[in-house]
Amino acid sequence: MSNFIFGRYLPLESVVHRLDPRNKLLLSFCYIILVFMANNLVSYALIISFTVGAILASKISLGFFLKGIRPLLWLIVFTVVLQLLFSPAGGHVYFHWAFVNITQFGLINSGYIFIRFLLIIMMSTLLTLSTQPLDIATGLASLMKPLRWIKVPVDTLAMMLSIALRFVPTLMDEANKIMNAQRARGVDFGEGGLLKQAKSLIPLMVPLFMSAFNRAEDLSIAMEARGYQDSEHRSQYRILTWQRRDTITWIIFVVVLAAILATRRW
Amino acid sequence: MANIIEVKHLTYRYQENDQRPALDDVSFDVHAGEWLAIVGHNGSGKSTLAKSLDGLLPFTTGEVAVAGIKLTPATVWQVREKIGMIFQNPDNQFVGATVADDVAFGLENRQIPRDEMLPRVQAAIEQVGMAEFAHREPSSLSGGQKQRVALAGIIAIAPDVLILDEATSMLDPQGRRDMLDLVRQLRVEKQLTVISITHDIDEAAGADRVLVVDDGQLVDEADPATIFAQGERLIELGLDLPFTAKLKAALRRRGIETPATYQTAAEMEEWLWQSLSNT
Repeated sequence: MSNFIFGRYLPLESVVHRLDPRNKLLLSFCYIILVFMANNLVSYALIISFTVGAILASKISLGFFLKGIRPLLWLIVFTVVLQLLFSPAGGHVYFHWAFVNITQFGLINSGYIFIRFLLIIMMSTLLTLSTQPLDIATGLASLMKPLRWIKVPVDTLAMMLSIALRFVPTLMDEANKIMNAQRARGVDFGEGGLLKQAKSLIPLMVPLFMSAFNRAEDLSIAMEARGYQDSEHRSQYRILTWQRRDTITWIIFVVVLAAILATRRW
Repeated sequence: MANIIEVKHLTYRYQENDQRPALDDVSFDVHAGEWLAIVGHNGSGKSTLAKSLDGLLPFTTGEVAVAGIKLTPATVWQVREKIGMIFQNPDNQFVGATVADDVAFGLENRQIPRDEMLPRVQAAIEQVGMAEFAHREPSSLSGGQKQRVALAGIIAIAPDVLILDEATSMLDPQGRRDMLDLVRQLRVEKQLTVISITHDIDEAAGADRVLVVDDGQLVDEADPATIFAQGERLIELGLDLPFTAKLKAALRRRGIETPATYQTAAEMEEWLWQSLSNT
């Protein structure tokens, strides 16, 4: 698990790290659309160089990056192989056996899927590697602001998100402590058949839930004592600033987008 | 001294048909600027009392007034402006994602503009000696450090009264001493009234006045010296004795006459030297 980097944060000093998290979230979202626009070699070459450029700019070494997403590679390969074996007939048929066809069409298609998967995973990993979870939460909350118009309680959601994130490590510690305490009393975690394994989770889950309820009670009392009434009537300590480098990334993105649209086979 | 908090005939039941109320006809005053300790064994109603003062528990009978404002559902937020509370568990009252966010939480709730918030947060963090930890996350702090952050959150909003609801009971002895020293220093600087609810007899010994709570009732109210001179009776109430009282009891068991009045560690030391050099 230690070299599995998907969803982790890597504290480094780089341009990518300093970008506005809102910007990074929006860019990643638009990037996914961009990936699906590309449909020929030239456009894929463009988008791959854009992705590699972004990773290089984040100062995260490419080797570390590729090693980190290797566990996900199996998922991709599995999908690609399925696509390859069961694609509809089209183009030149290389191999045929019962209902399995390996065709030129399937080969190209699965190649596309492979590259698309890889690119999207790389970019979203770059997002989490270069952005603190807290900043992602603040960014998401800020991006959700327009939803206020359709009566979505954005501020409350943002508060919940930030509290949830803040308690993740605390609850992980607690879960560990409970597991060790139960092990000391003779509970075997991860042993035996499925049913036995599931049963052994009860002495972990029940105390964990109970403790979460108690924590929630304590926390809500402490919040009230500190003057928290509801999310709408609050000022903000943490603010995000859109800087020139954020605009520059968008200029680059638009250039790449235009190039891909121009080279795309419609 | 003027009274900052007045409590009259306060009664509270957790369930309406509770035979024994958690608080039973409690009345007392808190003078402005004093350090009041409330002591009692587990389940004696100390924490219920603290929460009632801040309007966190809706009592049905009795009256509480803080700084001249009578506590009612309409004035509860006004009253909370005057009171800062620190609770027992350092982890469960840490709202912010980082130290600075947590200190700013109370200010955000009061809709203080950000320009004003920044220097106030900074100053409060510096005052509790956590400046180098400003951007650290709670999971990377010790219990004592988290309680200092909680204290910084109180300093930032500058209330008149600080209630410590067993705020040091989950800390190690060093963290407890640091925390209390910090509160003492703040009390002088900000002219705070401190109400400390505690099990820790040595903490109570440093107060101006001590209230003893037993089974929801106020059973005694005096300065620490008078309270701790009662010796054995404190044990009957389920309380511990301060160290000097224990020492005196041990000496008396060995047939050595000791003064009946309560003595601080320094006074006890002085008395021991005196009696030894006289023989």
